[in-house]
Amino acid sequence: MRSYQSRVLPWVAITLLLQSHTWGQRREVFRARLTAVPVDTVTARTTTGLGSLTATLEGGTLTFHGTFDSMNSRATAAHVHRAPKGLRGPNIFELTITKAVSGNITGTVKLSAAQIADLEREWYYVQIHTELNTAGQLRGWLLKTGE
Amino acid sequence: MSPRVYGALVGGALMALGFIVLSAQQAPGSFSALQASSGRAAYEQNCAACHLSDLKGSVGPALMGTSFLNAWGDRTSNELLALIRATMPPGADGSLSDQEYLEIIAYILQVNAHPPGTRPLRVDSPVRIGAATSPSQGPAGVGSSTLVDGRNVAADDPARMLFSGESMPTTADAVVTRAISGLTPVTDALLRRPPPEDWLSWRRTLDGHGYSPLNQITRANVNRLRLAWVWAVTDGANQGAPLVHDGIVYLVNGGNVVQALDGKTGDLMWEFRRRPTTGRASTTSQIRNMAIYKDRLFLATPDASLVALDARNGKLVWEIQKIDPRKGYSHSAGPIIAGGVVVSGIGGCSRFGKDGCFVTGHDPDTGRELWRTSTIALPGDPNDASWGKVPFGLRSGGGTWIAGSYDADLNLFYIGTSQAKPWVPASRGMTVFDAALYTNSTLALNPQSGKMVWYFQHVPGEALDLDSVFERVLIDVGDQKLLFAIGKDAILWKIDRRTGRFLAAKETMFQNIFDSVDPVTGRVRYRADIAEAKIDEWISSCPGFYGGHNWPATAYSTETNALIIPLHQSCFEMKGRKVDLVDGGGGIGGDVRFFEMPGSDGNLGKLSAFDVRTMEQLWTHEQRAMFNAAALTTGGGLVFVGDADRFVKALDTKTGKVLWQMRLGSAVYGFPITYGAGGKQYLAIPTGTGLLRPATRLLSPEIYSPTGGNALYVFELPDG
Repeated sequence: MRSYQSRVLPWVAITLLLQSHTWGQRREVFRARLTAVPVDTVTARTTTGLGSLTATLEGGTLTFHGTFDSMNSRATAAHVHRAPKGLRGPNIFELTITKAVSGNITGTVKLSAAQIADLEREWYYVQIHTELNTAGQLRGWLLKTGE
Repeated sequence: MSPRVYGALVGGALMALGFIVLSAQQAPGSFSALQASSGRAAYEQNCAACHLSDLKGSVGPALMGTSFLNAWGDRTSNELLALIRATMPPGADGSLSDQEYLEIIAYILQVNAHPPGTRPLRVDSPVRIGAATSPSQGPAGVGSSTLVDGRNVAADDPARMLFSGESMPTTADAVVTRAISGLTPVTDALLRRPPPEDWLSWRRTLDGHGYSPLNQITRANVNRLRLAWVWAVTDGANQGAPLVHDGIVYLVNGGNVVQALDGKTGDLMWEFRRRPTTGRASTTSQIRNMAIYKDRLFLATPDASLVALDARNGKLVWEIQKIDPRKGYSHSAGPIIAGGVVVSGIGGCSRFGKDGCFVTGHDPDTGRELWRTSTIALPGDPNDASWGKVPFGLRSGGGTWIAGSYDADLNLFYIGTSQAKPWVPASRGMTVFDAALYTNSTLALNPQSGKMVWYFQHVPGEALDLDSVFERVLIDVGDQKLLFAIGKDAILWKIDRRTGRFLAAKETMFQNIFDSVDPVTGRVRYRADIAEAKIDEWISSCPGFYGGHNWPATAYSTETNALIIPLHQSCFEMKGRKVDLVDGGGGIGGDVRFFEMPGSDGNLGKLSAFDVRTMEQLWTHEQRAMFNAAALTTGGGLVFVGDADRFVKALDTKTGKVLWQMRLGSAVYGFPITYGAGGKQYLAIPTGTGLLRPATRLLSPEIYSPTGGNALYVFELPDG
């Protein structure tokens, strides 16, 4: 077993290094459509708004630009959460958001290799929190665009 | 005083005032007896069809007892008012006055052990719903019963006479303007190979193809279609599949109304109206289809009766009551004719009890029940153990709320069953590893004996109200005899219909419910958090409650060897409630909330074609509005479908390209058909409202479907 590990591990390290270098070089665009968090007929009336967001990965840095409008409550925060599509997960990054019912979302984060892998498998979603809906009002997954 | 301090003081004062008001209203007497009495009448008229007269729930959730109070005990009458005003009655939300809604809430409070007082319940004096304890056993006067033929029947219930074989009360009226003469009897041979002009079963042929060989309307001329006539359908949920024979359109409306119309002119030939035997309001309950055989029409009613009419004049020939509807049983789907037998499923099997859930076969001449096959494994059944430790009386679900299909060569009747109830296994004292046979399965029955020849369970131990109950499409490919089924989870199944052997499965859209579907056995494996879900725990699922796929049925294109499937792209979260594990308890026992499907770009509607040989997707058409209608394929190379945004559309079956569309008065809703009369092809499109309307309001609020507008629009090509 020891012999096997000593032979394989260097190659794994080299592969990861090369892959990391490749990730560091390329530019890839992800988009999210921000719509209401899970609602029922009653909460839907107080969970309004729509947004869109582009996240560009370049040199291992992910840069966010987005807009939102028509919310019924003022934004308090925007976060990037980690979870597969359609599921809920923990807050990973903080973004900058206009503290209003309409406005912009921006942010820049440096991603690790593991985080880039999460991004590639579309395991990140952006969520806007508001004064009325502190647990989240709008959200959307960062999906590959092919650009 | 700064604005912030002032605001805080005002806010604090308002909160304190709210607390005082709410506290005061928790004292006895927060509604009047007269208000509750009026509420009972309004409840019977508008709510009892789904929640039942005893408020213990059926198609709709319980409004009394543990399940209800666990979900609503800490909430107020105003929150309940906001919910029911926004959603109830189904398809006609907001149609009652606030006074009527409050009367209904007063009645619900009374049943949940709140004592009446002298002041009526008002919006400005909300009540905490769980303030009282020990709900009554149900409304006074409801539930007293005696045993007749081994079934519980109330002493004053007309059903008592039916169960005991006594003569039935007259409950029907027929208006005949022109009796139909020279009707060709519908034989087994005719059902098997209908004339091109006819539409003789809910999907035209018993194999469930939803295909007509008529080819006057083509890709080239479909844009010339014009309105020939339109007929207003009764108010309420409308989801009917018309039948056509000898140029006569037989139309089923909600509320047990049937009409015969001249297919060329829209003139009424006769109309049948049946009053429900139990007083249950039925206009809120859709009836999806009827059957025709010999010179008779067969109607399954929301109050669990089966009715035969003379197709020539609409006169009642016989009626039988299959089971006591006050226990939650109902029909929303009609029968089909299989091997000379009227075969009928039943829905609303959500409450615990020893009546179980079943499919029945009936003599078309008399209505006599020939057999009754349980869709729940009973003690002594080889699959009894699939219900774990749950005793027979606490096994529910397995409803058959969509009509089946029939293969005359194999003499097998096929039908899908719904999931076990309550929705979440933890609520029913089970796990996803308790298969709960024969729920969420395809059943193959001998139509003369009811014997189950084989079954295939699509999702053992189903956990999210994702029914596999919908249409079964029978297709021959070479010497293969195939059965296709698709459920709310949007997985398309290919089964050998001789044996029930699994052949293939195809995910027709994004799903995150199953970690895997075994390509050899078809065995699904739930995502871990779904498998381990506990009561009161929110679980997410894509697709969700509205499907994936739902009752808008698939059609088969013989030209392209493709199934063309209406799909919905939405997700949901579900939370199971604790329910009473006692006779009469159970119900659906869950709460739901919805969200847009990631990656759908907001397109709720998806119509996709899949090759029946390879299961590969050939084309897809996605759009914002949900498809609320079944697909209809024709010999003209077209597939017709309709949506919540009131458009009826014709697409090319080869490419999915939209070739024609027209906007109608209300959402296209139900089962479009085509037929021939007087040498001309007609296209009949039902519109109206129903249980998918709330999905549109939630997930595409900018699309407004009218609450009325139930109609049948009939189109034709101009002469020449």
